[in-house]
Order: sequence, then C-alpha cells, then structure tokens
Amino acid sequence: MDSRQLIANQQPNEDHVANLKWHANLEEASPLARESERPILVQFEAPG
Amino acid sequence: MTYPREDVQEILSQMVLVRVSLADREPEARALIKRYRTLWSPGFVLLDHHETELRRFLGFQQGPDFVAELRVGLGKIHLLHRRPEQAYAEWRAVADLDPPAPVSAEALYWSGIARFQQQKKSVDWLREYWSELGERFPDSRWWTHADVWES
Repeated sequence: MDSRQLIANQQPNEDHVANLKWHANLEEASPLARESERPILVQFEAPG
Repeated sequence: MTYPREDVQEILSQMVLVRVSLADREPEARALIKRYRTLWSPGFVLLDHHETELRRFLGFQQGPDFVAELRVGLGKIHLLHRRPEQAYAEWRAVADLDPPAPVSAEALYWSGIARFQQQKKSVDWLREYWSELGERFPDSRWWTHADVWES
C-alpha cells in the first residue's frame, strides 16, 4: 500500500462520513467528557 | 480530515472529539497547541475524562492500525480507572489481530499487566503473557522491556 492509499483511508468520503461531532476546543469538550465519562481525542491538523 | 471507515467511526463514536488546525489563531486553539506541542500533523492525543493524557501518536495510518492505536489507549484509560478486565479486553483484541498491527506487541505486553492486576498481582501472569511476547514478537522492543527474567 503506497502513501496515497494510506491517506485515502482517512480522506473525506461524504457518502460514508458518520455523524461525528467535532469540537473546536477543550472548553467545549471537557464538560461533555466528564459528564459521560468518555475519553477525549484531540486531533491536530495541518492548515488547509 | 474525516473517516470513511465504519470501524474507525465506531471507535471515534465512543469519544468526545476535538479537532484543531495548527493555523487556528483563536486563543483556545493556541492554548491547546501550546499545551500539547505536537511537532507534526496529523497529531493525536488521547485523554481520559479528567484530561489526563494516556497516549499520543503522529501521522497517517491505515484504518485498522489507527483503530488499534486508539484501542491501546482506551486500555490504558480502563486500567487507570481500575477496570482491568475492560483494559484486558481491548489489549488482547489488538494483540490477537491477524495480521498483527504495529501496536500488537505493545498490546500483548499490556495484556500481561492487566492480568497481573486482575489476578492478585501474581507474576505468573506476567511470565505467561510476556513469554508469548517473546515467542510471537521476538524482535519487538516490547519483548526487550518484558525480558526481565532473562537479564
């Protein structure tokens, strides 16, 4: 599998994208995580 | 970046998700970037619900390997919160992947620790799991970490 295929696994596919809610900061996410005792995943992305 | 694979979506649905662009100039985003100081993108930091960092990793991965990374992190969260059975379930599943994921050896190492915690801290469990590590992943650094009886 080359790098283009690797990236394809994590590229937009609007037909299959789940209804995942992404927050913009921990101030939003932390209260939800504490309330539900769910872990938090922070993803840092390059611009663009 | 989004995730078309169902297995990735399923595990992400168990988490509260935060996405930050490294170019974001908002103060909250800058604070987050400064706090975790990821040096490359994409960068991922897994926290428990008290914001304790349990795992971080970098770069694109195939979907199954990405899920395995997250499951190893979830196992650590379970262990931290005294749920060794759930920790074991996460780690054993990753250890048993066929073909193995890049983190399968690490997951097997932690499986022994979860069993150790479950079974009255008997080192026999560590010996059993870590012997399996030597058999299945002899070139892994996790086997090096586990090889305490041979040193």
